[in-house]
Amino acid sequence: MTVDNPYKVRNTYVTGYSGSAHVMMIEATGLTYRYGDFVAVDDISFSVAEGEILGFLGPNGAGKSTTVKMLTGQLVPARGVATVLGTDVSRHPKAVHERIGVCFEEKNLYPRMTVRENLQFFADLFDRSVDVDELIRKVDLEKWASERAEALSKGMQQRVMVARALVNDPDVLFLDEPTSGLDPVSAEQIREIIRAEKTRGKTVFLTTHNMAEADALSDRVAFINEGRIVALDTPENLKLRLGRRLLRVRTRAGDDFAEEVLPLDDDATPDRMGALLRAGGIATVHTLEATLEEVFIQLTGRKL
Amino acid sequence: MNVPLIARLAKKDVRVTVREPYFFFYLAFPLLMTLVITVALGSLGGSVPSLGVCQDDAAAAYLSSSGAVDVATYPSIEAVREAVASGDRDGGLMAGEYYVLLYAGDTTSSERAALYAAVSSALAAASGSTETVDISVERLEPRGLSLQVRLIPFLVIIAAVVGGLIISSSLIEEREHHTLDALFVSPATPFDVIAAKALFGLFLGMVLGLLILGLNGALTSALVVVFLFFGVLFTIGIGLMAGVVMNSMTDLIARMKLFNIVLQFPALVILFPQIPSWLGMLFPTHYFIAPIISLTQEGAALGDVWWKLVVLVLCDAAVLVMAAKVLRRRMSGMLHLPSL
Ligand SMILES: Nc1ncnc2c1ncn2[C@@H]1O[C@H](COP(=O)(O)OP(=O)(O)O)[C@@H](O)[C@H]1O
Ligand SMILES: [Mg+2]
Repeated sequence: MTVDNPYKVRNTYVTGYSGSAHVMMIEATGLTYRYGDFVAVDDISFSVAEGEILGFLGPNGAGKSTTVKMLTGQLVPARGVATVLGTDVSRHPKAVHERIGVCFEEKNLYPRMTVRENLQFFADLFDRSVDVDELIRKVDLEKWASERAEALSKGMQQRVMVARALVNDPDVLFLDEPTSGLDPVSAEQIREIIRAEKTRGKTVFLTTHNMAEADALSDRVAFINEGRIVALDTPENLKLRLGRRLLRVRTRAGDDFAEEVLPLDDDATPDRMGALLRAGGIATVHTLEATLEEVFIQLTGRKL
Repeated sequence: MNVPLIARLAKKDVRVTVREPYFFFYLAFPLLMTLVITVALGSLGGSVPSLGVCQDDAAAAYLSSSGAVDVATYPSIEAVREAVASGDRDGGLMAGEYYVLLYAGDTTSSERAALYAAVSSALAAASGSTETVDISVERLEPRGLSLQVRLIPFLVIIAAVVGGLIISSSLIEEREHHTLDALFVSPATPFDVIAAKALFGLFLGMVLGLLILGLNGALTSALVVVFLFFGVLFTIGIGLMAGVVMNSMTDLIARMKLFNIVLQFPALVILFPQIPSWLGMLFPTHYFIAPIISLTQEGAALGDVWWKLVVLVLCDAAVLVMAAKVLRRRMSGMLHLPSL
């Protein structure tokens, strides 16, 4: 399949959410934030549809957390408007807080309260009945429910924080680098929880500086660098848009390997491929599409 | 304002605070001080007030056997009066046309109450009749407050400071652990969060203050509780400000020492009569503890202290308005305080 215009795919993709009839759960319009004179987030706009996972990918200091804080009403934007669930967050933060869940970048449990107490306390702040034990099962911490949070490993604490973000069964989840600094097993457990929430139709705003994670989880990825969004598309399109459309074929003759790189969009390529196949001896065939990381470097000139 | 929410937040504050190591010291310090002082100065349980009585008085024997007072007999009414005036005895019982119970000037109200009760029951027993015997009471001009009474303001201010300190500590801890951020994206408003802490501190300061006043026999007027309430409220305002201004617990403890001297200054003025008493009036806590002493030890009534209550309430209002401003400014962006 060839794609002549990546934007066409992007449009198709977005309308792929028309099942929810263009319900935008998050809309950022011209969001800007300054710490003193320093512009941390510079005029960014995007929207996230219902049931979508938006990966917000950028290096440390790019402005990811600042964006999350504006979207969740913790910071008031210097300019622009953040709308979540159709409500202006700065004007009616509490109306939004009833229906969102936030998992913070920094560990912030009550260290002297147990896992269950931490969750029960936040559950009690919402005007709905919550099965805290069910939540503890969801993050696989039954054995630790009566331990103080301070006694838990980083990975376990992070799972408690994710559980806390889910305490009100939120429609929109904001997760600020939920897997950063975790061991692979814990990180994968958290990714599983995120996937499960998506399956339940929830919308997720996920920041990360892990390109593989953004690629694996996100429906769309926003690249953010120095407070600006430099690209926003599906991971596939991002890789295609800026990646190299090449085919690498390795053939073997006896103990010797030979390698040939064929441009996918060249008229001569089908004939050459056919010849190679007929000749036999093809060891491997790879497309040379870029990784998200390569695309990011190409766009920003810096590593993640 | 959401009352059930504030109650849940306060419950959490209690739960978290009682597990903090500092909590024990905050509570134990004023109570231990009270116990040490009262035991050392001998008014708690152990000692009983002393009474002088004429040796030929019919009630003398009954008084000696009751044990409620420490009785000594004197040859004459004049000798009894002399013993009270010189401070040898807390009270003296003198029979004439009718009975006169004479109190020494520097007795505490609870000592006077104990003397009166012992004397009236002894006289009733001695007369052998069910009719109550008329006793007229007289009190010598106080030569000054006893040391124990002069220490009460010091202890009561500690109780109030503990109320404020609990709030500062709790706020600083929540800032250090970033748990405030989690609260601010919950349905709880910043006002709810702060109100819960203020209520917890107020409650703790009141309980400690009442305990200290009770242990010192100084809970003799409902007005005392009113002054205690507004006095603790003052330190709550200070505690809220310190909780947002101080950067860490160590910072808080270090600066608290200095600030404590300012809060305690009026207590020092009462403790050391050498310091001119008008100096104390320059400090807000004077209007908190001086009336408590006047009311419980010097027989003052609302008419004598009402203006101090007014000053105290004005100080409260000023400090709470300042606290609201500091909270708003220091946590702006993070903390959208609704108008208080
Ligand atoms: N409280 C603050 N005061 C001043 N500068 C800040 C503050 N918080 C963040 N910054 C700066 O703003 C920029 C964006 O920060 P942040 O949003 O935390 O980035 P990210 O989450 O992508 O790592 C960084 O350069 C950071 O140093
Ligand atoms: Mg961050």
